[in-house]
Amino acid sequence: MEGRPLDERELIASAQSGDTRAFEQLVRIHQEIALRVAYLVVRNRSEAEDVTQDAFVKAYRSLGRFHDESPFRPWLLRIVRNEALNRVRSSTRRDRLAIQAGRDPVSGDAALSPEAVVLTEEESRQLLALIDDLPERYRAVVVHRYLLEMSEQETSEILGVPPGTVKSRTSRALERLRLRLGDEFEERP
Amino acid sequence: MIDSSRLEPRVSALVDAIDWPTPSPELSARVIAAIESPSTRRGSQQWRRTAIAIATVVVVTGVMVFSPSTREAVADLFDAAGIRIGLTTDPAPTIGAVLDLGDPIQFDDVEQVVDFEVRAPTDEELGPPDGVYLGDHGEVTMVWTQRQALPAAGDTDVGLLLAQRQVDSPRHIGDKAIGQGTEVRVLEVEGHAAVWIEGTPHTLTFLDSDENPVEETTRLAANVLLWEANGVNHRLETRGDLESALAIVETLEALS
Repeated sequence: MEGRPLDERELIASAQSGDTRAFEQLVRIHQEIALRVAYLVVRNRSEAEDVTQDAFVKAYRSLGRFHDESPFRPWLLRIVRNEALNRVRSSTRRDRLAIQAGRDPVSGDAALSPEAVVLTEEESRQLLALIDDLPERYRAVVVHRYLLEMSEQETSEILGVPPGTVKSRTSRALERLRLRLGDEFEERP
Repeated sequence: MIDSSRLEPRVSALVDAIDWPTPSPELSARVIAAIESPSTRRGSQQWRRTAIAIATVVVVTGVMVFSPSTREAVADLFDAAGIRIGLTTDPAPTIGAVLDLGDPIQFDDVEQVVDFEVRAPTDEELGPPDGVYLGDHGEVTMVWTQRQALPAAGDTDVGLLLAQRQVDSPRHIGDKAIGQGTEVRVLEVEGHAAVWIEGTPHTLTFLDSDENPVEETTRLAANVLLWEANGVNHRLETRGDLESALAIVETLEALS
């Protein structure tokens, strides 16, 4: 089709009318963050992609119940998260997240601002392990706010809790992490 | 010890430390292929027929049998307690055939596996639950075996059951179909509208967060107290009376 590309609202409206090509564009727009949401739950790359695929199919089936005035991304990611949770609920084992190898903050990018923090591999593993050990309600807000870089409002909509609860749980989660880190997490200058 | 102002940037920095997966180039095409597959289309249509059938049974039978005053009270509960009630003439479920409450989990691990605040009775005589289960839809169910103060319900050896489920959205609504000869009382529990159902067994169905109808016919189906507090639906099942159920509610405290 010639002309300007459709914006998200138009894509949603077209997809709701049965235009699968419009929905395919929505998939492309959101597939990266959707895959991250799934990966943070299932901890396995291929399974995360399967979950993401199934969640998009489920989202398409549910488009008739999506309301235009609502933001699309949290609605979609909520479906992805639920799909991922359903896959892992019967499993008691949770793999660790993969960390990029060979990270070295000393040789960091000169373009980094003075406030920027680059964690070593060991620091990253240690911090992620502590986040994994948080009670689920705290872990969920930390994951969405910091690892998925979502706003309080989006986190609220995806987790289905009020924004105030996201704020208070985030604060309590950080305090728990701070206490658990204790003196083990040495501060580099 | 690291201070709070230096911790937050470090947690944020984890975004760049994680080795994130990237979507395969054919992901979007696979999604569309699955959507356009005739087999999945049929599955969806079947699902819709089932959902409509369940809704119709619950609503129509409710209108037929409920008195006007009860209907009004039930309508009030629809929003307040997240539970919709109707009457049914279907045969009662076999009580306690298989409880099938989900996967057993440790009481101490409850906090780790759900993302809402679960509460438990703190009554010393009752003690901790004898079993805790996590259902497929995120419901946490605690059970206590029968004892003198907790007579067994039906054919089970369970004397008390407390199930808690996070209320995900306004669309996440429970339907409760009850038989004739059952007493329904509307009351207030923890400042919220609640309902006490006493008498014949009940069948519970609800819509999950994706609006898939889910039937639950494997509970104790004893006397039931239903209420919602702090965004969590509670269901307390017991052969005991309302007074004893409310006494248990008064002792509920968050696990952490």
